[in-house]
Amino acid sequence: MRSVWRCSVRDAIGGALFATVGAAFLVAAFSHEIGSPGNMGPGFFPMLLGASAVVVGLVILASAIGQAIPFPPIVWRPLVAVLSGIAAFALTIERLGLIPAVLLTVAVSAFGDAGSRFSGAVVLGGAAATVAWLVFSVGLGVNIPAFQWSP
Amino acid sequence: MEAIALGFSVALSPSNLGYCFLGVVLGTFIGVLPGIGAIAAISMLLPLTFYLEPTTAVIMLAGVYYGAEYGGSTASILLNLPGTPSSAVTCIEGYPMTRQGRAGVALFMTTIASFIGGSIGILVVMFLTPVVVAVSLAFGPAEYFAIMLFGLLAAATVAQGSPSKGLAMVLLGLMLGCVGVDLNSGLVRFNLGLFELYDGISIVVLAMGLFGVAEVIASVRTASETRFQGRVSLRSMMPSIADVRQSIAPVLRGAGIGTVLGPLPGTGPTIASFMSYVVEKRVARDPSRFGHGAIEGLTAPEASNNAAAQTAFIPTLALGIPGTATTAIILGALMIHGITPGPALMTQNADLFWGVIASFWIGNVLLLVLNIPLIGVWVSILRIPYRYLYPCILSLVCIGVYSVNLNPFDVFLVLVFGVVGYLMRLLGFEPAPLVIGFILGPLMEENLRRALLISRGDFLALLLRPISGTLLAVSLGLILWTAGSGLRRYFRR
Repeated sequence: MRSVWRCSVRDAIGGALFATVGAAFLVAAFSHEIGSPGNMGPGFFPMLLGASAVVVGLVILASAIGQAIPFPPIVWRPLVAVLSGIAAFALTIERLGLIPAVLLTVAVSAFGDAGSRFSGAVVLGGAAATVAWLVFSVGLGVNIPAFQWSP
Repeated sequence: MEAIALGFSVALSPSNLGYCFLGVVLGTFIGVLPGIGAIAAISMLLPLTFYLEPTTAVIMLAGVYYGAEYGGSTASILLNLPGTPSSAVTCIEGYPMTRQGRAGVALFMTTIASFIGGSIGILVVMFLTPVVVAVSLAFGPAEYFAIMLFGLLAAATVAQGSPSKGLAMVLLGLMLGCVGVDLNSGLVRFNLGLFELYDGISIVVLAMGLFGVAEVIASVRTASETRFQGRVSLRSMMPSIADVRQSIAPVLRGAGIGTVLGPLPGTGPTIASFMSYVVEKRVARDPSRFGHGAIEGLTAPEASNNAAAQTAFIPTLALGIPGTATTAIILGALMIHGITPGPALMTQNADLFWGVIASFWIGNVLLLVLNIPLIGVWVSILRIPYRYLYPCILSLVCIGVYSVNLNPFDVFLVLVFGVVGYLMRLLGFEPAPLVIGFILGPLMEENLRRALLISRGDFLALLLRPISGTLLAVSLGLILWTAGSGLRRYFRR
């Protein structure tokens, strides 16, 4: 008999998470007027979606029981590096301008790879920033100042 | 046919020609990069098309699309690392050929096969789309709702992965599509109190986060470990007569499979290439050669995925129903330009439709002409360690997203979707159905509302109309069939 105690953690988390999202969406849908089928209010379609999402989430959760699919490894270093790089861009593009922003983004996200070294990352950042400025500002005329100072 | 002559006159204008060229080159370039596929390529270049005319924008995006499909196979052959999901099959025969020193032949035959497959696909698009449009003139809101529902269910269940997870992704896409102003009531929904979300989530942000950023995060480790060491000369690309003779029938078979599977919702270049490989293996006189550099296993899937990429435009342009995430994004781009594909497109915007068709031809030829001499360039790109490439890709994503509204909020949103996309990959959810649901969501809601308004809330009326009834019944059948096979598989364990 299939062991009930084995559980695919991956699907359990996925199903539970999705069912929760669906439930939250459903609750939020009720804050709008639902209306009737013949006269759908803004909340009607979201209500259908949220309800279906809860059902599907529970189905996925149920399918997790009895299987033992392992959870794939999380690549923490690239994840943190990439996200920090994007955050760096978002925080500095308006305060410092295009060139510093690209430089920072490239330099910070480069550390996602263990083989990267600081000097290499900075040089790459400088090159990328210059090319980006040439392509976007000069070539395409996108209105982003190269340098700026508005902290 | 004077229509196609009109199309060529539009497509051959210097600016359209230039942007087609640019699209094909950029698309191939991005497709070559490991980890970044056609979807990421299109979403990265989408902001650039906002400055262009609608026709030019679609021409460029279509060029990016099949350029990326072609570029993906280069990485597959040389590095055993698919540049796009549909090129995964190309690794199976292409990489062994590289190890046998036949990389040049593999790359050359791939180009030719892609060209032939694409050309056949375009012919089918030219002749079939007007037919589909004629049929769809009988479509009312009920029919549109039913066919969208069917398309979404097919996308969720037929593609790879578990059907319930695919369904979850479709629902999530539909939910995300509800964010923003509801056109019917004028009320803002689900914007979490942020006024930046008044207009909803931008498809650019969604696609770049889910596909660009998430793929980069996942690829940093794997892509860094492989690099192409050899050289590929022009002379080494010449195939032998035997290679050519062995490939003729597979290419035609592959193109046939691609043109059939391309327009169907839920299937696209990826499934077409897999099916074509399976068929070739089954039809081959000596199946044991497969996996060790059998040229049929390389050329047939390539012809198939290019044919499917072209014919996927039939439902997109004729009905406004995208069958794959890529065509969904192109559809989104069209809508941003204010063009609603559908039956009206052929009558009101005939120059756009036929211009796009003509540019398919031109783009296909450009791919052939460009990529043979440029093979050396693509190969040297693959020699660059990924740790130098991906930070640049990321900054490209950031600039592209920022340039749309000049608002850092969009960049933060890309970050959020990047996390969501990576989380989805970890949990085994496919992102492609989400995009289709996202694009179709508002349209589905609108059509359902209208259909129910006409029938005064009577849902049964939708089932009684012949076309929508059939489609809804087929949808229900699809759900029951996947549920049934899922349960059967579950209890067999």
